[in-house]
Amino acid sequence: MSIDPTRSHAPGATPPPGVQDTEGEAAARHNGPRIVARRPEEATPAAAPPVLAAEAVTFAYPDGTVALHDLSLQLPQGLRVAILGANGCGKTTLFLNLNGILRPTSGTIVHNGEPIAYDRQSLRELRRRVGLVFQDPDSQLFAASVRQDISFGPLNLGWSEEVARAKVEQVIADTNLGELVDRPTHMLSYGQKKRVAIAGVLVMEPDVIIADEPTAGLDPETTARVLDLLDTLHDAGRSIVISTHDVEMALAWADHAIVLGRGHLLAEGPPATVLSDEHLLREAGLLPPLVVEAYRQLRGAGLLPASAPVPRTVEDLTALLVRHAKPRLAADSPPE
Amino acid sequence: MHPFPIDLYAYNNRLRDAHPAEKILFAGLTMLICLIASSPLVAVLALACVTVAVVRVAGIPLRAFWYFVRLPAGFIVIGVLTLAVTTVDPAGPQTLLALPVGPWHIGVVESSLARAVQVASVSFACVASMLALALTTPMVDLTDQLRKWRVPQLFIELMVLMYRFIFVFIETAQAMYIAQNARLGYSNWRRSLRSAGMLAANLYLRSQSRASLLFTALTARGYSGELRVLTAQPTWSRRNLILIACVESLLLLTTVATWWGAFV
Ligand SMILES: Nc1ncnc2c1ncn2[C@@H]1O[C@H](COP(=O)(O)OP(=O)(O)O)[C@@H](O)[C@H]1O
Ligand SMILES: [Mg+2]
Repeated sequence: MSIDPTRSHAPGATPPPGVQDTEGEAAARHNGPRIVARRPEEATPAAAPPVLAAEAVTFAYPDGTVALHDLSLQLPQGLRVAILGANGCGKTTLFLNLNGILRPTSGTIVHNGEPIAYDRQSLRELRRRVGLVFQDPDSQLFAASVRQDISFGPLNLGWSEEVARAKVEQVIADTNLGELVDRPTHMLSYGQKKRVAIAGVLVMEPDVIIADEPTAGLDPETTARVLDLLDTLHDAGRSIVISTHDVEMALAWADHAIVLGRGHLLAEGPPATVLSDEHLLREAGLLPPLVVEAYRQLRGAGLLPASAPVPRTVEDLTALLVRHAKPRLAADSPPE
Repeated sequence: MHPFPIDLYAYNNRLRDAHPAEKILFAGLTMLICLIASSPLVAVLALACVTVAVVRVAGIPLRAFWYFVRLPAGFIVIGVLTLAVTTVDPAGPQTLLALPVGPWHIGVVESSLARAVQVASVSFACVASMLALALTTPMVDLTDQLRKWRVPQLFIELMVLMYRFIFVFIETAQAMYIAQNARLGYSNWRRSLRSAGMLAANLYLRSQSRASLLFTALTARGYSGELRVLTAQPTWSRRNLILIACVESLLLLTTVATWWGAFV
């Protein structure tokens, strides 16, 4: 995919040199928060070494349910990765394996090129570097106040009280939780709980944050806020991995997509490629994103050339139409 | 509505940021003196002081305070009735009331009435003291303070988890109740019993899965057997300490005076 000068990017992201304020960006600002693709540069997953990888991982639960079948995949360093799949396809199980909470029945998990070890010391280090945010914040938040909850991880790492206190305050500032810190966790809204859960993991300064369905059950505005927060963490150089079944969001947000189906790897690659493969998505129990469907139909109707890149957002699609279809329609209509 | 209104006041009152030790001291000493004195006079005085502290100092509406004090009143009254009512001799000089029941008489004598009044007044004063603490001090502050006093970790962790889970359970139970009610689960007496039983059983199963989820999530954040968190660093207030000293001295002096009266 080439860099399209009319492609939108999120407010606040540094635009590539020479890119003007586009309609997409203006619209994004006017319509309030929404998911906007941000791609300062095109991701090249193949070049980046994986921060985490699963090698031939099979995992069976004690009751015999085999949740992961001979799964091999790589999570590239420094990218935003979306792991897609229907309910029950093994996303949560995979994440618990990546963080060392579950141990593969066979196969290995590799972290920064090293197979992970399961002794106490190694696990503590792994859990500091690989932060796991759970899907249900109620299962993660235990303390009576937000500040206390955030301080749990740092104290487990054996940091001194002063260091822990400083890190907690830093994270509270970074995640804009200032006005919530002294509230009890049970007086927070669901979206606020999600943000506190992320902060509680972030404070341990992981290099990779794995968030299990971080946007499931959130309204569009809160979804955008959570994704914004994850983007901020990504801008600080972290790898971000999320699981989701929201194909639209994955297409707009991720740099790299991985599709799972019934514990098997179905595909991995650039989101625009992976998420425009209708056959693959149906096999995974998902539907193609609407914007891809629209693009396909427009191409079928001859309004877009076969060479047009797959759009990742509605703004992308509009830009394509403006560039390709508008001149054609103008030429077709008889002069008055 | 918030499932636990006491908690709302704990976070929204004028003593919210006072040192928790001050509040524990006030409630604890007041209760201790009431129990030692065992005198209706001291208890009523304590009740008055606590009410003034809660309403005037902490700014909690009198009606709200009264509402919470009233809640355990039923228990206290039932408990005290059994003290007041005994088998009596209908001709006894102390007998105030006697009702024939078969071959016996049950009723009230002066001493049993005095005992009932004493227990009831002391109970109410203690309940009010506890409530004053509960209504002005968030749970976090209490556990923080207990940590500083080196109360055994296990005790504090149980408090923390129980407190957190009360809300999770209430929310879960409420959601289940609404769902059952929407499908007419409570439309008659028999169905209500059945539905309530199902709710209870489900709540138990869910609490188990919740607990295991929580354990997993804590493990992911490096849990190794101890729930350590940072505690706040509150400051002492001279005014509060002076007020506490005044009230407790007053109660203590009254107690001594009642003993004096008993001896003279
Ligand atoms: N604790 C468990 N015991 C047994 N089977 C489980 C357990 N947790 C999940 N599974 C099963 O493993 C499979 C994958 O589940 P999960 O990883 O939770 O999927 P996802 O997160 O993608 O929805 C499902 O078939 C599920 O029923
Ligand atoms: Mg899941």
